[in-house]
Amino acid sequence: MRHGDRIFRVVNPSGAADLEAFLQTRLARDAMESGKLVRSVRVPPAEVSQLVSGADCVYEHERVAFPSYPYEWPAEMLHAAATLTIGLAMDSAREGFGLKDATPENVLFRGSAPVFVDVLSFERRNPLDSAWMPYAQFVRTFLLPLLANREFGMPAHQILSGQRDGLEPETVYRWAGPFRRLRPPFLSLVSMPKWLASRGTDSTAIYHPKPAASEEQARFILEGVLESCRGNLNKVKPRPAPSVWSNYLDHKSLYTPAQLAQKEAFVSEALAMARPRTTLDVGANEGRFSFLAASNGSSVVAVDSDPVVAGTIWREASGRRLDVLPLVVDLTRPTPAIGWKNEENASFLDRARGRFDLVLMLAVIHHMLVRERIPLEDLLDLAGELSRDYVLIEFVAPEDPMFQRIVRGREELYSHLTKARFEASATERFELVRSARIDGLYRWLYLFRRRRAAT
Amino acid sequence: MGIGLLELIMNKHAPRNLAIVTLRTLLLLLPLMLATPSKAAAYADPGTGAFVYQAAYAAFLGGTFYLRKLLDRFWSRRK
Repeated sequence: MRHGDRIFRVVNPSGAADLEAFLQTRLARDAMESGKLVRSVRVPPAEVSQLVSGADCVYEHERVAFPSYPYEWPAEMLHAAATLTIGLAMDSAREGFGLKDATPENVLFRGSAPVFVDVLSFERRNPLDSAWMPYAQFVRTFLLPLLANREFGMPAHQILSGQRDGLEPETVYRWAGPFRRLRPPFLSLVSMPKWLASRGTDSTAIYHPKPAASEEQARFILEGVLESCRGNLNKVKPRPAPSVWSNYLDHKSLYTPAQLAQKEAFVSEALAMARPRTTLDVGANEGRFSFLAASNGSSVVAVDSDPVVAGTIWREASGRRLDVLPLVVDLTRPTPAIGWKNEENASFLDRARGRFDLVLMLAVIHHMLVRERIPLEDLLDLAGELSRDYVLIEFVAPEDPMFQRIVRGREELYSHLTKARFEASATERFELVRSARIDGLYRWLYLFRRRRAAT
Repeated sequence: MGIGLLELIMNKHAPRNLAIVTLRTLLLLLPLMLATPSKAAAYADPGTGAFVYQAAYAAFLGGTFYLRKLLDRFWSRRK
């Protein structure tokens, strides 16, 4: 639960001993140190009564700056979350603890790095127990969506938005066709479970496997199962693939080197002036300007509606260890609040409002104006809600060849979206700090600041 | 299936590993062949399939564990 800006968890006294023992293990301490596991400390009893009544045992967790959900992640991030989960499952087994649940909802991202947040998923393991109970959940929520993504091109985030619990093997079986079904990894992840499914229904005995004959055997079996998961995870690793957007808005093709340099200079100067701690890059595409902001010390959330492109941003951010969190979000149809009573998971806008010192909208609003026909005024209002301070917009006028391309012949519908009209609407809402034209293009850069309310 | 077949065969303990590999395959197929024919389930609780598979794989691994111990003892006595 939240208390201001702090995250607390009330723990059942029966679970508290195990939790404390787990947090004291070498694995837990190393993982918290390296950032793989969210830092968690017990709240001293004196403070507990101030926070919550009637609870004995409360833990405080380190807060993750921008929570995101698996249905907003590109496939690469789902894969990274899976790798983290399996790694922790294997390491904890060596210390006498086990991971009792394996779902992407246990993972959040700090910039491009995944962090496991559900510390209560770890439980003391019976040393003679050889079963990894969350195996099927790991298959459904991580492996099968990644497999569908890799083999059928299905966007992993869309699968998880419709189904919190992932994909059933039976579903993928139908998609696979007679030859694929016999190939690994389909054979072990999809076909065998489907063929064995009817055998389990008679009794619940399978959920209570016999204990192994020795601790060594139990460990051997458990490690074998986890290794096979890891092997399958490698087989379903997302491949870099082209998409409509990965080739379209390549800056090198739209801008000459001089024009690109001008744009970068403007953005760099804006960054130096604004010094944003947090930045939102809307329509980030290959992430060039997200990386620019991150190199200037800002924490960046980069959103783009194309999962392939978001995945490419993640690969680079992860490789360069930059604080850029790429999410698959279309700002004109952002992630809704879903779950129980439409309240369980916060919408993207609820998480994002007022959270960013700088919002970048570079060569993107014309897409939103044309494709989704969002009124200009409403778009600018949204930008003002998302930002705490600065908004940087690259305005593309109707004369621009790219604009004309997306208009698909209906120029008369959009001819009113002139530079003059844009400036008039924007200056009603924001204070103009500076602007510049990109020489040779019908594109103008504007740095705005939210108006301070007159007191 | 699972841990690399190839790496088992490629290392210098070839004859012993070939024996292991053959016996492993038999061990995997045996329980499946002997399993009772499935009833036409009117309602199959989703999620059981993967779990049953894991249980079968775990049983198979348990078998290879014994086998490996057995073969280790056999080969070391041979030396």
